[in-house]
Amino acid sequence: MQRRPLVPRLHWRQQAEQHGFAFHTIDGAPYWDERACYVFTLEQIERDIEDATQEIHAMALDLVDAVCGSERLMERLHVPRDYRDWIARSWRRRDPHLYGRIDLAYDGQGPAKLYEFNYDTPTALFEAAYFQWLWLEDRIADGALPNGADQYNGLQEALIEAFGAMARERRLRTPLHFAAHAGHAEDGGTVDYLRDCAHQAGIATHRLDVEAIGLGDDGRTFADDRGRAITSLFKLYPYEFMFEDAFGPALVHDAMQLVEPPWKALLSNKGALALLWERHRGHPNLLDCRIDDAPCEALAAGWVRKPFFSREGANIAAVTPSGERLATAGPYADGPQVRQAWHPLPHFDGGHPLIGSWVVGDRACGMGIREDDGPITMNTSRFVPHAIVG
Amino acid sequence: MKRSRTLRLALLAASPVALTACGPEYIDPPPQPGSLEYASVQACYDADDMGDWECDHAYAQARGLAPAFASEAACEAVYGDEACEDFDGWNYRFIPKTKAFATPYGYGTSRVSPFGSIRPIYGQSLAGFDARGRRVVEVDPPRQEVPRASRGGFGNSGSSRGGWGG
Repeated sequence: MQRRPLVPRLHWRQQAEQHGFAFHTIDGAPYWDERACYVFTLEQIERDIEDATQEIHAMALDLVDAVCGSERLMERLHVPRDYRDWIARSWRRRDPHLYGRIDLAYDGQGPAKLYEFNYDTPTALFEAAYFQWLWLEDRIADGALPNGADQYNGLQEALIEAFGAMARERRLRTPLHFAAHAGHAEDGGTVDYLRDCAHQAGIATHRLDVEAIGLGDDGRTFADDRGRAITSLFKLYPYEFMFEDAFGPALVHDAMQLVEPPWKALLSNKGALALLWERHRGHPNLLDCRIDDAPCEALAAGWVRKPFFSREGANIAAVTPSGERLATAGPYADGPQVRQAWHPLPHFDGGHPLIGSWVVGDRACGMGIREDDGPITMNTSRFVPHAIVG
Repeated sequence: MKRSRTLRLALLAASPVALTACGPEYIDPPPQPGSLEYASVQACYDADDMGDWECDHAYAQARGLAPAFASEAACEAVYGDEACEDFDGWNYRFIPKTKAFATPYGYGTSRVSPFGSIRPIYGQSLAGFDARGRRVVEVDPPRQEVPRASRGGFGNSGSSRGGWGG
């Protein structure tokens, strides 16, 4: 694994805009960053990323099965009481799921370590699945990368196949509505891209804002912005927020199928990392992690404290083994927390890469790397493409 | 190869694009709602959506709609090496190899969907086709109206927190 500096393609901004990549620059700062790329060997990808991801995914599903059979584990994950049966039912039906991202710390040697799951509302998908692919093709064509270069990225084929399989097996009600937060370019871009994949699989779709969703006066039928029933919804909106929202209680009537399905709520919760460690203590891909019973006490050296529901690196506190304190601000300060063993991201020429390893359906099938200047990956991170050489 | 072989965007891009790993650029229109698509004539026979005669007829019509070139070289210049075929054995009309094709719902009956149409499928991957080589491209079905819906019950919890993705 190396970080290789490259001169960016002259036309990349124009290409990004032509292909609907509206958030290549966020708040004036570059998000898509092709001034470098990460280069891996095939063995590193297959053994350390793909196989590890497949194994972590299997452990995750096994954990969901255990939690859905245990009121006590539901309690430990702070799943709201009103939604527990509903979540367990969705697991017992094996409601189909589409995709998830597993964040890994990896430096090219030794096992990759699981930082967290993004199994409910993962983003950074379009740039990994599509734009990164265009970049590789261009860089092979212009000689910046050798002819046999490849990329760990079967994402788009897998997404279309997964949508197609759901529709074929009649596990998806259609039309499939796609909803994201109004006015947020990155979330909107992710949803537009997934909708494009569903369309290519032959599924009828409709796009709307989360805020535009209505609820009929029967208290169970959801309506779209044209006043028609929503029977299935892909939502890039976290379950923990839905649970707090006014319409949340109406979800449990199951009049609207959700993708990701309700059981995914259990894995977007960082308490799951602690339960995973209890079940597989010492697993080479896991970090020591515990539910923090004393969140007000000072953190000991060598630990990181994370809220159950924080996103994009918010509200994380850490004390390094040498005693240095790090913290990020954010809106998620309230609520339960976990403590995870300190395991910093590697550096490569000043960049701290975090591997986002994708699972589509139940198959590990691609990767995107986000890089930050500091050791905690936040929503200010940059997406840096990768290639497989050798 | 660890990456997708073909990528395209049907809705997002400014104009339809389709790309093939290390190969030529194909431009194929997006799937049309109201269509039944078949990976081959055999897949059409097997599906029994219509008679075998209708399958043959639809396929022949679809091939006739493929872009035609006066020479194999001219066709290959666009669609790539080995990607073209002689249209009818007379050696004057070459088209990109066409195995897959689309028909409108109800083709061969008195109730043909007004939405789909017969067309060749030459440039796209067969992702989304089932194991028997068939794919249904849905029309927005008629839907239940929800007359008195209240709005704004989702989206409040996250609005102070920026993006919701992670």
